[in-house]
Amino acid sequence: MISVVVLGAFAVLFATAVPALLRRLPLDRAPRVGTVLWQVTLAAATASALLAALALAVLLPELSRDLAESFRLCLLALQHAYRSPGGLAGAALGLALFVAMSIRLLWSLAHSLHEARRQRVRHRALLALVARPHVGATVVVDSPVAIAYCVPGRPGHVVVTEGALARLTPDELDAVVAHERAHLRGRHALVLAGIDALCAAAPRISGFRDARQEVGRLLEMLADDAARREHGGLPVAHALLRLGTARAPAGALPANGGDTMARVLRLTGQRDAAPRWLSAVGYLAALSMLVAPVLIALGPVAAADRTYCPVEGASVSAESTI
Amino acid sequence: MAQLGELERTVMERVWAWARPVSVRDVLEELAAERTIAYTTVMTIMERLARKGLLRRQLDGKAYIYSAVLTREQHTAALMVEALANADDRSAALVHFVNDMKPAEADAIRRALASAARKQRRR
Repeated sequence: MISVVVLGAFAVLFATAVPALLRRLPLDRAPRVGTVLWQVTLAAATASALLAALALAVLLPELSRDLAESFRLCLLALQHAYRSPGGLAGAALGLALFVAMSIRLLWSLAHSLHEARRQRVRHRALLALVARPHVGATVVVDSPVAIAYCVPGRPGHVVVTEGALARLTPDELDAVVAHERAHLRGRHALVLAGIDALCAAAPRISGFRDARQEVGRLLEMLADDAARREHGGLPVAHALLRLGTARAPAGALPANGGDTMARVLRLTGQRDAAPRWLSAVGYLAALSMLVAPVLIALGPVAAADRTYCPVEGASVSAESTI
Repeated sequence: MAQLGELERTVMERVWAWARPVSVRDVLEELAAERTIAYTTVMTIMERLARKGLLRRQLDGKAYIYSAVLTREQHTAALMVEALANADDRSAALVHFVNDMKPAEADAIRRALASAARKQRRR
């Protein structure tokens, strides 16, 4: 019972309090750790909710039998360890919840990935029609709209327009292309599609939407770092300014308040990276978030191990610690 | 709309360049000047493009003539509309380099860049 409650509390914590905390942390200083922390938080929230439902459902005879056999435990002791006021009715509810949540998650994931793929395929078909190859895997579109973006796929493409070419120096163009290629290598679009799926599955949880926004920001910084290593920070920063102001005043791309400024500060060395040990702490925290729900879910298994196993038909005499 | 091969792309370029309905023979004559290519190949390609909805096929006397459904510019415009529509956070099909910034942010960035340049010169 306690494990169900704790796991439920974890689910709420990982969906609300932890995102609120992460938003306040200066993750700009360690974007890779930042993206890991955000993704792990989402995974932990989902896992906790599913495990909570499972911990209830485990009282169902088939499930507890399977679990007892896997861990070579006494069946009655195991059922005693996982007991809850709801009994079998609660267990049935738990199973229903687990199945419902799983289906919703899987469907949402499939839909999100399918939708993203559909749009990409359509876009690539149009590119095949009107774009002409540039250097490397870059293609150029003959349009005065000054934008640069990447389209994932096999192979991925970096797209720049004539408008963008007209505004950027050769250095800046190289930097932009390096940035977009970092997105392609890192499969960032896939990560974002996954988070989109979670947002669609649980639209009322604002913590998931925050995750989508923050991970988007941090992935841009990761790509900036890759471009900076190859071409220096200044070309990237100048390119940001040139392309970001190309469509003023009524831009077609939605403006994110202050995000670009943060990127420029990082690129011009006016924002220090976090020290190594702090990143290590971050990764450790991420690991703990993943491990904790699993430990809690399996806690009763450990307790059942120490309980005296009763003879068939007799009631359990020793009180377990759960 | 499925993917286009290189030949299909070349044929479309020719049709666009003609700017009037063309026959298979018209296109073949142009292509044959640059490469070895059979009439049947060009015919197959143009039929395929018509099936994909990129070319319109009409009967002119006894032969078919083909014209482009949309101009190159119209396709490009459609591409740009899609690219810009994809910039909102609802879909991660494309990833843009930068979104538009408000004038105030642009000014702040110019100042930051100038200040970084000054520090660079002092070193």
